[in-house]
Amino acid sequence: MTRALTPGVVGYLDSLTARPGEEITARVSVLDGGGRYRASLVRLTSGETGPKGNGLKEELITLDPPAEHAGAEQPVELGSYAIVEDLPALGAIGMEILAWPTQPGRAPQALMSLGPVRLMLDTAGVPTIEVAGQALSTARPLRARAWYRIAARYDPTNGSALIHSTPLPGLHADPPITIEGHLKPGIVPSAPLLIAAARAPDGRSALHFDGKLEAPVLRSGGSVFHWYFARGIGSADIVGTRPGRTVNAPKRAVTGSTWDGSVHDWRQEPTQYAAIHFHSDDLYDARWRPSLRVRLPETLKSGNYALKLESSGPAFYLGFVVSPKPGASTAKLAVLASTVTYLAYANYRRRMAPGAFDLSMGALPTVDMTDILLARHPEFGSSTYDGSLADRLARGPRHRL
Amino acid sequence: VSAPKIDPTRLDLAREYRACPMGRHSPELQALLDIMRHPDHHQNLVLVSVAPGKWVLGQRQTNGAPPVLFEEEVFEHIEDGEWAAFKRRWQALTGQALVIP
Repeated sequence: MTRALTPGVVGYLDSLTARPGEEITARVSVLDGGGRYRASLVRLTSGETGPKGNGLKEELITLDPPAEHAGAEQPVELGSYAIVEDLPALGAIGMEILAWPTQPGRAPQALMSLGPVRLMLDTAGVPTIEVAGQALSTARPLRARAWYRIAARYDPTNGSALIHSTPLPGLHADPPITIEGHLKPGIVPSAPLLIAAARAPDGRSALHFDGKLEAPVLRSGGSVFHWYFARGIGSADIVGTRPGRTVNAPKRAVTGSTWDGSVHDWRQEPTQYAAIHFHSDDLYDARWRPSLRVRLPETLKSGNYALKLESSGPAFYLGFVVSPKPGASTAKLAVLASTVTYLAYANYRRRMAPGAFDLSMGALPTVDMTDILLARHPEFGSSTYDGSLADRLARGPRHRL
Repeated sequence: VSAPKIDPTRLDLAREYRACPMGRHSPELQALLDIMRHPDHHQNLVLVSVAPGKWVLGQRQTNGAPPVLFEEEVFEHIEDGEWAAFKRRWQALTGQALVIP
């Protein structure tokens, strides 16, 4: 029973609204391993599924394409990072970055990585250079929410390596540490450069960093590459010696290591906002492959519709609004769909988080298959109103959300 | 702060709750419910909609995992689910099963 509680197929649409005659694109993931799903277009006339509601009411809209489709599970890559693909061949390298970790010790986290050569915080939050699995560390974990300059060097010709950490001026007195040693020689660092993550063997990003990073520098063969995060705020670009981009929308315009409290708006003094805040559970776009394109009938009335997906378990509805064709007045009343609110509450997880809900509400929390689906799939990301999963777990179950 | 235990002889309060699980309660029943709903005692219970008009009790997990479902009892009215949670919490707080003649 538990297994069938949640839908065997899920998905999302490219757009929240469409007009009659337009094509909508669905991206579908079949979770139950069955490899097939049915899709139909329905008009939703009632969505109130609470105990005193009218229940879900829908009308089937007949479509031409065959209703059964082949599909597969599509992965979600959770966690933000930056990537620079255009780099020359690399030899001996130096890497340097300013870091303000929020979760040192949560798990191994990559600050900068070039294939098998990685500047990391290890499982204990200790700055480490890792080369093909061998590690050289400073032996002193970073404090959370303090700025450090972290640097590393590695020479593939003889394996000589260095790891260094200096706290920036602040309210603690950790000393600078430099450790030199030897790691496995012959391991060649390779593009792309990932900032705040590393590449897993399967090609996905992994080892995501939680916290702020600023001013990454890469040195190789007499060349110096650097990036300046105060530029490109408001875009997905990172600006520097070589072009790069962010993935999964890390937070821009955050206070950097030089912020002195004199400004509270990045536009007044961007140089004080030269950091990017990365989160291991950021998700902007799951980038699933398009699975299904549906041409909406020209005669479709405006209203609430859904592409209804079915395999095992309950159906999954990809809701959207059909608005009238431009220029044609079709009704006396205009309805403005609350799409911003829908998005702010999408993937709302707090109903499932332990807390004193019924103390304040006077009744038990009620949850449904959507809540359980989200609990089974942390990789689907969180709503605007949820804290980060890592933060929630760090604070423990007694934290009042 | 350790919350006081509830009085297992106050079956009148249990009857009042059974008659009207949601809405305005007497001050004594409200005080009892406040103890039951305290994070030390609420057992992280939720009502889970398993089908239209069908509910079971569940227990939320502190590690983000899906809730454990108590599927032996399926409720067709949400008030019956609230009552089942009340009985579970009563038993945990008093050490006695709640039986109302």
